[in-house]
Amino acid sequence: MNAAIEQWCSSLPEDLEEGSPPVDFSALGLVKQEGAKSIPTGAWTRFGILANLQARIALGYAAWWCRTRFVDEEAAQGRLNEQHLKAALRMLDRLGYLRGLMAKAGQALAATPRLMPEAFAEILGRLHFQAPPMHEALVRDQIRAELGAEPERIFRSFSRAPAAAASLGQVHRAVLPSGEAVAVKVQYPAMATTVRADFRNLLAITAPLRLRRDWHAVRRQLEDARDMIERETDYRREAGWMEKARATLADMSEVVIPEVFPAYSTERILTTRWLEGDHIDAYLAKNPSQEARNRVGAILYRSSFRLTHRGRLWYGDSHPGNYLFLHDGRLGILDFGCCRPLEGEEWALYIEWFRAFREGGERWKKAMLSGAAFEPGEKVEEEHLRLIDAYGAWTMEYLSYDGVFDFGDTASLDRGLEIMTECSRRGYIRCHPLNTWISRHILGLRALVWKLKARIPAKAIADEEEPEELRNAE
Amino acid sequence: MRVTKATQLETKSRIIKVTRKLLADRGWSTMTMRDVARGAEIAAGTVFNYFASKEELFLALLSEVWGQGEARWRERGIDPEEPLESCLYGLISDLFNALQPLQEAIRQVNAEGINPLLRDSPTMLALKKDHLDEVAQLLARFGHGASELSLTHYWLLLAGALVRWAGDDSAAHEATRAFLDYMIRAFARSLDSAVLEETSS
Repeated sequence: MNAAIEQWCSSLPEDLEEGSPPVDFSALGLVKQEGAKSIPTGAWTRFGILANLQARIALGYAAWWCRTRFVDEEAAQGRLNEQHLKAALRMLDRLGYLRGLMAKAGQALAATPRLMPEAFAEILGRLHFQAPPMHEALVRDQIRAELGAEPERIFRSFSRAPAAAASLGQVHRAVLPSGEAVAVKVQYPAMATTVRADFRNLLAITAPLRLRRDWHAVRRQLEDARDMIERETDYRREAGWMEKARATLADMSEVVIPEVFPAYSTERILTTRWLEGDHIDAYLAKNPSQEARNRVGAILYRSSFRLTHRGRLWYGDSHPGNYLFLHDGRLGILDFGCCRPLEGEEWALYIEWFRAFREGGERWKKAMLSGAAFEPGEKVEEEHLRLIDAYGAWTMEYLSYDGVFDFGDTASLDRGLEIMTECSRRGYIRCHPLNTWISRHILGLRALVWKLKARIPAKAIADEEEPEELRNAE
Repeated sequence: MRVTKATQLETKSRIIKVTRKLLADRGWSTMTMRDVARGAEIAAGTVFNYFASKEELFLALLSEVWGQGEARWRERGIDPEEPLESCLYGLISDLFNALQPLQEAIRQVNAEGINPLLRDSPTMLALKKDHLDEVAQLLARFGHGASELSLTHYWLLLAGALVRWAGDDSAAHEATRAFLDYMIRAFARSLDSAVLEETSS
């Protein structure tokens, strides 16, 4: 175990006693990042995975967090749980080197809105970003291997320290010989191999789950998550999705998706135009007007619908770090590594679910069961059915609401989190892989817009951006 | 006819140059000393005046290329803010990059059970001493003592990394890069642990 983490663990009490004073974490230096540049965001990404996957799958203490939060809410609120921090630290140490599937799943444990005490969320968020960054020599070696020469010979300038962390690597600021300011995303070596290896470990850890009658559905989700992350290791694929997104949103002047520079990009290096702007915390610190918040919230939703319904591309990584609030009022969208093209049967299924939602009744009920990966005629526990119904209603409530929907309504968000927590607690984790993607994006976007406290005519926007198939049907 | 020192050096250099080319063209297993002699335009027996065996010749070539890698690293210099792991990685990376033309030969040599870095030949012992002196200076820069244990630990890790690298078929050797990073971090942590033990005792 990392020596520093061992020290931290040993300095924490063994048992949490009722009424024991909270630990002064600042004294432990946990929030001090030595030698690592400050990363601008917490991580709400993969909230869909957290919501849908049983936390015992290598993320055992995530379920513990949920139980602590909701079963013993008063005790948890305002108190720091040293036992769980110890578990988090131990897990961090294991994730610290291998930044594959386990690290990405671990990201789901960081700050989620109101799921865990804020102090823990902040610490977890910072701990999460203490996974070791690539040092200068490794970055140099990666670029030499991928682009044929060292950074100093390729770029006019290249930042030695990373400007930001990326899912599977890190981003450096650079200037091309032709003068353009660019972001160079450098992937950690051998990530695809690590992902496959981590998945095998994950399957081993989940051995007890194989006794469940829905193991096949759970396994399908895990395999889908693995495939998704493996896809993310190919930056050329991401470059393709960025270009598709740029083309699809070309007539939305309020949105900026960075241009890719193919001559400086490979499977492991992605060079895009540098965008200057604020992440959400810095944007909110400037105290934007309600009108500004509403405007940007509307842009978020409209671009999301348009990308899905016109571009048939599902953007699966809607966490705060991927959005930039540009100083001219436009919205920058970054990181297209986690995208899912909707084609063939999946597109047809998506349209069917959308149509079923509009129609309601039995068709919608059937669609929700399909989304929860139940086969037609398969027996569903009553409680599970109730939660599926509640979850479906919650995720689509803003699309059922005529007028301006208040996304800042905390009670509304809490309702959704309680439903997901209950599902997690009861082990209701099966989900159609497509629905996992949908959930991930919807929840991520919803959390983001909650933070903006935006009020948006979401239903009207959805109607304006509806898929052609539904428009033609009318 | 008396052979001058300069001529001897020139011949030796030519032999090594020919060997480098032959290894690239034919590989270690099929290359013979007779081939080397023919390529260097000297008598077959003359090669053995300079190198006692094919293995010694290979080690001499490796040592020369190794020196080029170290020179590249020294030329690059060390940034004052660069952490130890980065410095060590940079050193080993420059070595492996210089050794790239010999990768296949090293793989074949390893396959015969001869890890070059673990040989007791005068050539390798001299290479090892020079390299470990360099590493000791680097460790001292970061406040770490260069105990025999630490340096032996490092050398064994490096020997293992060389084997790993030589056998790496992954695209652009990215598996080696990941392994090297892990190995160096583990080594650096072992140095930290040693410091912790000393301060707590």
